[in-house]
Amino acid sequence: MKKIKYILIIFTAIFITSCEKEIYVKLNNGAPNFIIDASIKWQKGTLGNKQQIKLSTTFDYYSNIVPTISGATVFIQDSNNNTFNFTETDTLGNYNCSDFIPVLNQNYTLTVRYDNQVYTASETLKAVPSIDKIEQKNDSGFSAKDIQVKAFYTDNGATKDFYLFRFQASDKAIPSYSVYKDEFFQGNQIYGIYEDKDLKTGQDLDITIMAISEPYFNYMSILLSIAGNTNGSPFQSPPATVLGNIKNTTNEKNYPLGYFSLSETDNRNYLIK
Amino acid sequence: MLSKKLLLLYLIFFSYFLSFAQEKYTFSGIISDSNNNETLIGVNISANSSTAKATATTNEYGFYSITLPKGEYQLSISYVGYQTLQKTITLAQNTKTNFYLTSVGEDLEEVIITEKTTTNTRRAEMSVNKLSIATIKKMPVVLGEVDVLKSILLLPGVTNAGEGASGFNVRGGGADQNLILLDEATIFNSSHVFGFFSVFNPDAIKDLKLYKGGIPARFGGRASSVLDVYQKDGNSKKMSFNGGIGLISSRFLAEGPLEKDKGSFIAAGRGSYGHLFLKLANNKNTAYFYDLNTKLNYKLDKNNSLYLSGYFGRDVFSLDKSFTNTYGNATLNLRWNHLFSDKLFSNLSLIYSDYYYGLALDFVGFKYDSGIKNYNIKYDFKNYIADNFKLTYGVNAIYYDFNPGTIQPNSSPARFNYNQLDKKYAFEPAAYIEAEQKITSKLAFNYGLRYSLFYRLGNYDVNIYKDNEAVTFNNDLKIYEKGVPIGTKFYGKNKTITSFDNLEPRFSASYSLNENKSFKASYNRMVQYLQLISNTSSPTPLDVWTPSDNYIKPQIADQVALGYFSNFKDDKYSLEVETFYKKVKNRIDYIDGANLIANNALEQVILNGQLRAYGLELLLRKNTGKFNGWISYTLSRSEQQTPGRNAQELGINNGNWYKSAYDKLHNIAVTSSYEYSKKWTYGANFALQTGQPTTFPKGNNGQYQYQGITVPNYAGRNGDKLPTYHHLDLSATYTPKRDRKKGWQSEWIFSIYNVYNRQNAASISFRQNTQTGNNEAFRFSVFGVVPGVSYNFKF
Repeated sequence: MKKIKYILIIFTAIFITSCEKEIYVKLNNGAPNFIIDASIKWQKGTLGNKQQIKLSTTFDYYSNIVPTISGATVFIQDSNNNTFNFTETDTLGNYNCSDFIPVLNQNYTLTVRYDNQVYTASETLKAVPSIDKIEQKNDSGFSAKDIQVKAFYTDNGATKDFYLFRFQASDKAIPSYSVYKDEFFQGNQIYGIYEDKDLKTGQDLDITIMAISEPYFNYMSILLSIAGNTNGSPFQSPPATVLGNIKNTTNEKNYPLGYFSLSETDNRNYLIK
Repeated sequence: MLSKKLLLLYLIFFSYFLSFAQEKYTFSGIISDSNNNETLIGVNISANSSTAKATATTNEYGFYSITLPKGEYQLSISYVGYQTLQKTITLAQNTKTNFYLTSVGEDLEEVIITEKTTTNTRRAEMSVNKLSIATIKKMPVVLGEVDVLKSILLLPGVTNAGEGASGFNVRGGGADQNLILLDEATIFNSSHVFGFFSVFNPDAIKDLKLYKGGIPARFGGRASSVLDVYQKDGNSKKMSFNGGIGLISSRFLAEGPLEKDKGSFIAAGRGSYGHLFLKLANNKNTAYFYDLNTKLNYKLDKNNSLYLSGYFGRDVFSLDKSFTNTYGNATLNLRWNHLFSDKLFSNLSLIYSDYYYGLALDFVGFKYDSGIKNYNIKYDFKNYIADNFKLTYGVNAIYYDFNPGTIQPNSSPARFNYNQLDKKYAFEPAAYIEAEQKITSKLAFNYGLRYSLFYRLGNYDVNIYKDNEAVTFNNDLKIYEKGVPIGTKFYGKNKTITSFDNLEPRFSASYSLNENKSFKASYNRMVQYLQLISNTSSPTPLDVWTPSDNYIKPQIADQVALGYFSNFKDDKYSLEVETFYKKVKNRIDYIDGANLIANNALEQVILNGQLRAYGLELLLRKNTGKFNGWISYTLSRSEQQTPGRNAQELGINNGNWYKSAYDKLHNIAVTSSYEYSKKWTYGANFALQTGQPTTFPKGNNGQYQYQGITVPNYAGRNGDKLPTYHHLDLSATYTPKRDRKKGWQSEWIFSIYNVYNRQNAASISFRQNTQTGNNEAFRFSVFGVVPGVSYNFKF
């Protein structure tokens, strides 16, 4: 339903002789935060033993150089007390594991130790439905010329479910995410939508569906809205620091940003016709 | 309990006025325009003799009443844009006389404003601005579309969230805190096209009055202000027509007698036609708005009149037929004016109003309908007891029917399930009494009391939460989360779920230093039982209204204001200086990530906070001459705070005060008009305001990487601001010589909005370029320089 507002904004923008211009804005400084990017993904039909966690910090808004964190201790424990260590294999802040054992509906706990601080979080690995089919429409959008892709899946009618879709188009530097909840389509066949005016025949679209927890759905909803392009508009809700599920057990006030999530995934690579 | 209190008050008032009883006679009647019998609101009548002196103003129905000792009086009746009427009368018995004023100019309504809009230094009324439609029509506007709401933004203490934003903010209050009345019926959404145009068709409007403070007891239900808009009654002398053709919309109005001098009708329509161009261009999208205003009035006899008025407006957008959006207001109002005596005026109103919002998303596969309906019965009395004592009292009761949303599948196979969000019902009765009293020739008081009640009614399953907390605080993660109901309790139809009652005292006083100078002070308490659920800086058509309940408390506003009022240089100029302080309890805010649309348990995402606003307002007007206008300046602050409910909770923005989205420290507006010749009149507006508060990322720690995208890391809420906002607008009105034979009058209005093409920032957004992955900041501006032309006619 949130999408409606965005549609209204786009519409308003087109309706009037409005103008958007890139500008330089001088920003005031603020305190740094530690970032833990820990998303465990288990693609259907694979072992799911290879997993990666990224550690970094906040950095200058206009910079492209992501600061990396070296020398941290990272591990995940499952409810059977198996420990999966994530070791630093490069200088990019990536910590890798090759013996992870994914089990549906099992609870996992993440621990990160760095700079005399201990960070922990717990989450359950969720099962996801398969992508049933993919449909393409070539007369979408305001100009009626945009390409729209729908990835269909069938919601489980017995449970309250939340979904995260990731679309990576081959012409884009970054992926596009969207979140859905089944409140209004419980048990139906439904879809995730990707539409972009730059989408062209012959391009690749990498589609991934993930099943996520309600708190992670809430987190991603806020995160996507502040990372999206609606900030500062009259339709905007005030942006705020978005807090995840990871806690600093050493010093509560020095909280990290990021999230520890686990999901089964289904992935398709679709060639735009 | 209530009735006893009121009875007591009533007795006090009566015993008071009885002591005044002596040999006096009442002089009353209706004042209207000699051309069309249109009643005139707020006409000043003064009666002077060597021994006695009295003044009065006409009410919303043109009625006046003056009570004076027997004798001979010199009458003077004056009104903006009309020739002052001087007359000598002998008062030897109760007399009923209707007066007809002749307008100064004859060209359309664009009368030359030889206006005596001097500030009234005698009456206790303060913080009130009145604008005549003639003044409004002179102002330069975007695309030449005359806009009632945009014109009030030039007054001190009034701003909005920027160009193209809907609603307006009065003295640092929210846009939801304005009671907007069209012929006494509540208008829930005052804008067309998301705020670019107002719902008021200027041709059908007679008068408007904005109460910013010292709000009379007869108004209630909103915390900050009352915008009282009156429609024209219609010409009861002869048929006449007028209209206008503009770039965006056109208007046509017909008015005429139902029975000469007894009854009249008016029907006005307005529609936009931008969508026709889209159709011509073979574009499948469409966007338009229209509205209809109608009014009938009929004088049954000298003591009874009936009025029936209605409004219907809609906005329609559709994108490729896959997205259709329809919304608008409708009102219907039947009123009966009855004179019990020449001292006791009464009006009974039966009012229906509704707001509808509908959305069909074919590409997603559902239809969404929502709305609010209300039924209002109102009985008001004005008792002109003595020249120095008037009493206003009345009762009203409103029944509300809210539909927060109906979701229906409209695809086959149905992807979405039918869902009816819980309908909500409420009942809001109120009674009030207010006295307008001259204590001495220097001192005048208005004092009153409103007693309002609010009942939230079933059919409804009320969620019950542990410790009565619908929002819980996750102390581990330091975030607010939706509470999980531990049960529900069902309340049957019309069973009271919860109720509130409040006494709302109102008081204002004026002390005249001399004929032309006075000090005034006022206090008012206003209670607002409805909340607009909106998490954006200005309202959107999609926002839903919701009644107070166990978790969402009524807003209670207290405001004090002090002012200095003066007319000088033979009333050529007037100066109004006011300062105010306002505090609103139970101002709501939302937990991060709150979903407000189609949410069946809004209480789970709402936190109660408070709002405070304070400021200084200056208004300097030049009232007379070929060159006139005003300068207004406001220095003010508007802040909100939502602290944690206990020591652990962080609240919003760490519990600190933050600027509200409509905080504007400085706000300057200049409007002027110059009558160059009979044919040409020029107008100019200039506005300069502090940029709107907003939130920017932290510079050196402004972003982080997460799952392949960069996320801006924002600083404290509304700690930054947009660049200073300013623009200059010009207009020229050309009135060709009237063709007396054909009776056709016309005028051309040429305008340029934002003459020097200032790119005012409506927003600054921060985002990642999807092609390069780099962060970028974008300034979004709504209007550059916008020329406009419109043609108006009358026959």
